[in-house]
Amino acid sequence: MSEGIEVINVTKQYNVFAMEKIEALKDINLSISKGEYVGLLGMNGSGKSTLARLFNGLLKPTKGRVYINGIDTADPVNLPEVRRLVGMVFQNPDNQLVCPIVEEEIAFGPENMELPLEEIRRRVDWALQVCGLEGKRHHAPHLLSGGQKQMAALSSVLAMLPEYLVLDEPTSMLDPQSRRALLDQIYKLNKQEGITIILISHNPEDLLQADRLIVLDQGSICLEGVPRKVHANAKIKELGLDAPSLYQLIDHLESNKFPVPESIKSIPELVEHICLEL
Amino acid sequence: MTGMKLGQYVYGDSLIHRLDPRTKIICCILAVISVMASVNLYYLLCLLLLMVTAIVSARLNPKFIFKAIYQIKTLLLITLLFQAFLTPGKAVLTIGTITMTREGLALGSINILRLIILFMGSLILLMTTTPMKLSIGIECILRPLEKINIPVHNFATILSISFRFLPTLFEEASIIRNAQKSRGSQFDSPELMVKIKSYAAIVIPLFEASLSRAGDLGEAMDSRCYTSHPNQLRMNSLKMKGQDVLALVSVSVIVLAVIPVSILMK
Amino acid sequence: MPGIIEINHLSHIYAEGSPYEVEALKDITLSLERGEFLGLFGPNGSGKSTLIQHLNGLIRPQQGSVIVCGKDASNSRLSRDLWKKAGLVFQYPEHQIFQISVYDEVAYGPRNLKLPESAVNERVNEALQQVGLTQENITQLPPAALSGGMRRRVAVAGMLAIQPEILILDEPMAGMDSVGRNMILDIIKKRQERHETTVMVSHSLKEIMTLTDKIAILDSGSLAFSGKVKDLLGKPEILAHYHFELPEYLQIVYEIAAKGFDIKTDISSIREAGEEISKLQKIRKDADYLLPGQYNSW
Repeated sequence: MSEGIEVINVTKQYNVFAMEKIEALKDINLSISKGEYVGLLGMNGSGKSTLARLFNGLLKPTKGRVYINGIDTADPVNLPEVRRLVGMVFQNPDNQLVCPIVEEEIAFGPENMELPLEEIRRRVDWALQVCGLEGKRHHAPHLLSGGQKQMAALSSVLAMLPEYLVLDEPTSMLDPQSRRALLDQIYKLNKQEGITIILISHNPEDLLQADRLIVLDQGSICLEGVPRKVHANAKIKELGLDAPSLYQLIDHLESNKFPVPESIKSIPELVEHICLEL
Repeated sequence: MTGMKLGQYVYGDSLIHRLDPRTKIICCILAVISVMASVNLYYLLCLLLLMVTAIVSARLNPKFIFKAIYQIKTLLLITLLFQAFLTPGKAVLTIGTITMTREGLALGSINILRLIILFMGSLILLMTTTPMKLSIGIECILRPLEKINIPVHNFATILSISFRFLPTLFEEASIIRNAQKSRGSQFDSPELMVKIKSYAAIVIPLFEASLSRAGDLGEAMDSRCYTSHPNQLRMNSLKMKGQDVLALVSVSVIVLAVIPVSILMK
Repeated sequence: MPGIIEINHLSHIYAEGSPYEVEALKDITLSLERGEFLGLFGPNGSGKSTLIQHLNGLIRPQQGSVIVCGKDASNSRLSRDLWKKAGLVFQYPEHQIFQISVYDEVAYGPRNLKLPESAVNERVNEALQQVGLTQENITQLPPAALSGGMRRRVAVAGMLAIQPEILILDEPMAGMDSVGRNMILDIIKKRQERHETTVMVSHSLKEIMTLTDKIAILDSGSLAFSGKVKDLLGKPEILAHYHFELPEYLQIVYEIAAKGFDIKTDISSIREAGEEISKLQKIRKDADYLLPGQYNSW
C-alpha cells in the first residue's frame, strides 16, 4: 500500500440556496508524504477548511479522489480507518470538546475505536503526558483556558495514534503565549513522534516551521514550495499575505549584503547565524 | 466568574466516589421512595443520619452543603407556611381569616425534613459522580428500554453533552448580556415590550451560537469515529463490586424498614 | 485640563470574602487625553476586561475613582448612561448580532438613544460608510448571509452609529485575516485623523507596539507601564519581562545584545534592525582589514 496522502483532480462544490453552486475547490492535485510538515496558507474563504475536511472524509469530493495510505475516503466503509489515520483539530477550542471531564474527553476517540480497556487507559495517560495536561486530568473543560482547551483537543486526537494530523486554524482564537506553545507542540510531534502535519492558517507567521508551504487562493493552489521561496514570490503579496517578520528582516539583511542561508527558519537560528558572522 | 455551581462534581477518591453510578442512582431512587412512604419523624431522622454519614464519608465540604440548602430556603419556607396554614387543627396564630395550626406546623416541619433529605441525596449523587459516569449509569439502567426501540444511548449522549455545555452557555449569556448593555439594551426597563426585546438580544445570538456549536461538535465527534451504536467499552465502564452490593443491601434494608416502622407506629 | 479618561487608584476584587476571591485590579492610575490612541496590553487574566468594563459603566468602581468624559462612574445615575460616551466593542462582536437586517442591527444603538428615525437613518449610513460597507442594498441583507469579516464590520458599525466619544475595541483583530485587520486599522486611522479617542485592547504586545503611540501594560491586575512606545523601548528591564511577546526584530536585537555585541536596541522597525545588524558587520570587517595578520594565522 502506498503511504502518504494523494489528492487527485479534486473539485468540491457546495449547493447554496436552490440552484446556485459555489465551487470551493477547483481541480486540486496534491501529494503529501509521510513525516512531512505542510503549511496550508490562504485568506478566509480560500477553500482551506474545505480541503481540511476532505482529508478525513468529513466531506466527499464532488469530483476526483482523496487517498490516505491508498485508502479511498469516498467509500463510507473506509471512514473509520480514514479517521483513525487522520486526526483533526479545529479552530474553536470550545466547540470540539464533547465530554464534561478532560480525561473522558481524551478517552472518547479510543472508546469509539472499541479498543481494550487497558489500551484506552494507557493511551489516555500517554496523551495527557505528551501535552502536559496531567494536572488537568479531572478538570471540567470549561474551567480551562483557551490554550489549555486547544491542547486538550490535540491530546484527544493524539490518543487515537493518528499518522496524519490536520489542524484547521488551531491558533486563530488563541493568545500569543498559547499559540506559541501549541506551535512548539506541533513541531515536536512532527520531529519526535514522526506524525505528518498539515497546519492550516491565514497567518504566515504560524507556518514558519513548515517544510513546505501551499498557498490557496479562490479554491486553487497558486503557490507551493519552501516557505522562504514562496514568500520571495511577488504573487503572494498580491494576495495580501505579508511575509513573516523574520523573512522581512532576512530580506533587509541580504539587501545590506549580509547573506543568510536558506535553512534558517526561527529566531534562535537567525541570532546564532548573525553572531557567528559578526 | 468561576464560582462553584450548585451540584457541580467535586473530584474525590472516597468510597462514595468509587461506588458504581448505578448503585448511587438506585440508592437515591430507594431513598425517594422511602421518604415519600413515611411520615414518621424518627425514621426520617434515621435517613437524615444516613445522608450525613454519606456526606462525611465522601469528604464533601459540609459548609457547601449548608449553603446549598440555604439556597432553597424559599421553597422550604413556602412548604412550611402552606402546611401550617392549610392544615386544620389547634390554632396557634391567626392572621385575618387564616390560622396557623399546631398540626400544620408539625406536618410542615416533617415535609421540610423530607425535602432536605431528598435534596441532600441528589447533591451527594451529583457531587460525587462525574456527569459522564452519571449518564452512563442512567443509560445502563434504562438499557432494557432499547428492546422496545427507544434510543437510550442517544439520550445518554445528549445528557452528557448538556452537562458539558451548560456552564459554557451561562458564560456566553453573560458576555452577550454585557455586550448588549453596552449598546443600550434596557434589561431593567419598566416597559414589558422593551424588556422582552432586550432579552431577545441575548436569546437570538445564544441560539445561533448553539446551532453553530452543534455543527462543530458533530464534526469533532465524527472525526473521532463516533457512531450512534451503543459502545460497551468505555474507560469508565461500569462494574459492580463488593462495595456496591453492600451499599445496595444496606440501603434496601433501611428502606424496607419503613414498612415495619410504620406498622409499629400505628 | 482633565483628560477624557481619568482613573485614580482603582482596585477591584471579584467575589470578595469567598474562597474564589480574585484581585482583578490593584491600584490603577491612568489618564488619557482626548484624541489619543491607547493600546492596552495584558496577558490572559491580567484584568484588561475588568478595567475596560469600568469605562462604560458595566462595572462600578469599588475602590478609587473613574471619570469618563467628566462623568463620575461611581454615580449610579451617571454610570447608567456611560455607554453613550464610551462605546465598548466586545471580543468577536459578530457573535452578538441579532437583528434580521444589517440596517436594523446598526440602528439598534441609535434607537436605544431614542433618536428620531431620520437621525437614526443618517447615523446608520454614516457608520456603514466608515467601516467600508458601501455596497448597494447591503442594508437590507440578513447579517447571516455575510462572511465573518463582513459581520464584524457590521458589528463595529453598530457601535460607531452610537457616536461615542471614546471607542474601546477588545481584541478587534482576533481571528481576522489581513483583509479584516486592514479594515480595523482603517477605522482607527480615520478616528485619529478626526482627533477622536480610541482604546484598543490586545493580548499581543507586538500588535500594540506597532500600531499605537501610547501604551499601557497590565500584568496580574497591576499597571506595569504606561506612556509612549518610544519610552518603553528605552526600558529594557520591562521589555525583558515580555521578551517573547515583542516584535521579532526586537527579540533578535536583544538576543544579539545579550551575547555581548554592542548593538543599538531602541529601534522601531524591521528596516532599522537590518541596518543596525549590517552596521555591526561592517565595523567587524573593517577591524579585520586593519589586522590582516589574523588571516595569516589560519
